[in-house]
Amino acid sequence: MICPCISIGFVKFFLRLPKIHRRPLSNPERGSYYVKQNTDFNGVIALTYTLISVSSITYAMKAKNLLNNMGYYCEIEREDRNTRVGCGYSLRVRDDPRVISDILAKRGIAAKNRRTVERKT
Amino acid sequence: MRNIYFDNAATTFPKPPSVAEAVKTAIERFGGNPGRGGHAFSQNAAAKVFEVREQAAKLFGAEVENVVFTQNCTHALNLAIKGLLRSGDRAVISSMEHNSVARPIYALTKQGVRADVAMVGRSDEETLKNFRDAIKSGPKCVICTAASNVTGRVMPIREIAKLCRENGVCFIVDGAQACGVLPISLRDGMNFICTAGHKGLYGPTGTGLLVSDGKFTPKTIIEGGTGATSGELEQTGFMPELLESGTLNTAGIAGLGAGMKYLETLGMAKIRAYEDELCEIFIDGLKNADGFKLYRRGERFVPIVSFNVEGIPAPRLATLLSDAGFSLRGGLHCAFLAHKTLGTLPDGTVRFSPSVFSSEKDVVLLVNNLKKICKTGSQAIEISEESC
Repeated sequence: MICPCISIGFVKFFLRLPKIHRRPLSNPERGSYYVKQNTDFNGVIALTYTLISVSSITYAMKAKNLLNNMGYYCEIEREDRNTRVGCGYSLRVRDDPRVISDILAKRGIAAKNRRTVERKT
Repeated sequence: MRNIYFDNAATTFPKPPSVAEAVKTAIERFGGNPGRGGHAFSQNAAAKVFEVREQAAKLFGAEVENVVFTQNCTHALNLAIKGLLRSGDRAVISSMEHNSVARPIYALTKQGVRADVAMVGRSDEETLKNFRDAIKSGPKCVICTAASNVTGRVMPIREIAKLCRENGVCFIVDGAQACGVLPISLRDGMNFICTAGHKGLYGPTGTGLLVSDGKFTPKTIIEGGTGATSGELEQTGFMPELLESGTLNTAGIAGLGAGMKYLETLGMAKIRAYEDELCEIFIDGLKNADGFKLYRRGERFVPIVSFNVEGIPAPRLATLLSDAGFSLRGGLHCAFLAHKTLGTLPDGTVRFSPSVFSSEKDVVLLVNNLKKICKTGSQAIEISEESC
């Protein structure tokens, strides 16, 4: 029998560590890219996702509908900063960005660039 | 006095209540400029526009990005025709074209474009032979109406599309009178479908569509803000923004979406069958009337009937009918070439064009009034004529 004092101490030790919540993908059969939600000691939550830039709002909408219909999370964001060619729109996705880009490319939607973002709230 | 509307080939009236509701909702709720900015109002408006774009893409068999919203069919035709033809190019049009085709072509002939007119014959076979002969000259574009706005005659556009494909020629279809009435789609083989949103699609005026298969990219005739690539002076290079400069008519587009939804719900074939029946009642009621002349040469027709009454010029006849409470258009219907082909210049014809909202009772009333006019004539006495 395990000593209750040691068990309680063990649990308390783990409670002090930052929590790393690993949520499964919107479709668990697809890849192994997880959304990481880290809560540090001060209770600050960091969310990590990928922004994929596309050419225009029309392509952004086409991509969002396509991905949502396939079970992937996707929302549209206005780019925070302009590129050389001007203002644009990004797709915010949580699944493997390489998989997402591949799906988009097969449907004629060119991904201009990808960047992974960690946003703290 | 009640006014009965039979000029649906000009624009359909009334519109389904859902269209008015959609326009009202858009004005009240979709207040942002679609595709301009990242805030909620802009995004909501953009989502609405995209929804209607998808509807149109599904209806016409296109990719969503190859659906361009325009102000009307004329705007769409000008984008395609003037976007593709350059000095030294050749174009072929039919002899029944609306001025929205004939005038840009005429303007382009002053800039070095050569234009040939393929005569529309008594039969589709004769028409196709004339197109085949005209295409031998190696045109860059063939432009043909899907259905005449004067006589309603349906043109053999699938066969013309095949001829164009075999010869590597771009085929632009004016679908103003056919879209929403006939099941036209890019699967029929054309490269562009230009249409009005406010006729057979039951959308509001100020709407139109240019639908492309993506094989030919027109150069722009209008440049401006597109919401994309704003950091460059060069016009955005990809569709649909390439051809959509300036703020879109969000409320109109929302209404157009409601119109297309109405068509889908009721069924295009069902609407067409009803309108055809009304045309049959009209023709059967008048074909034996004294002095009544019908212009209906061909194999298939959309619900449009052109006619005249002997001794009464078409504009005068339309006025008499208007005085009696019937709204029909008399004259040249912005289709000089068509009337030249029919031999109805200079006065043209009067055109009867019902919609799904027209009633059999009103058609019978019109027929009875016309019978009276045929019997009694114009009743106008010309006092004198002076030169100015």
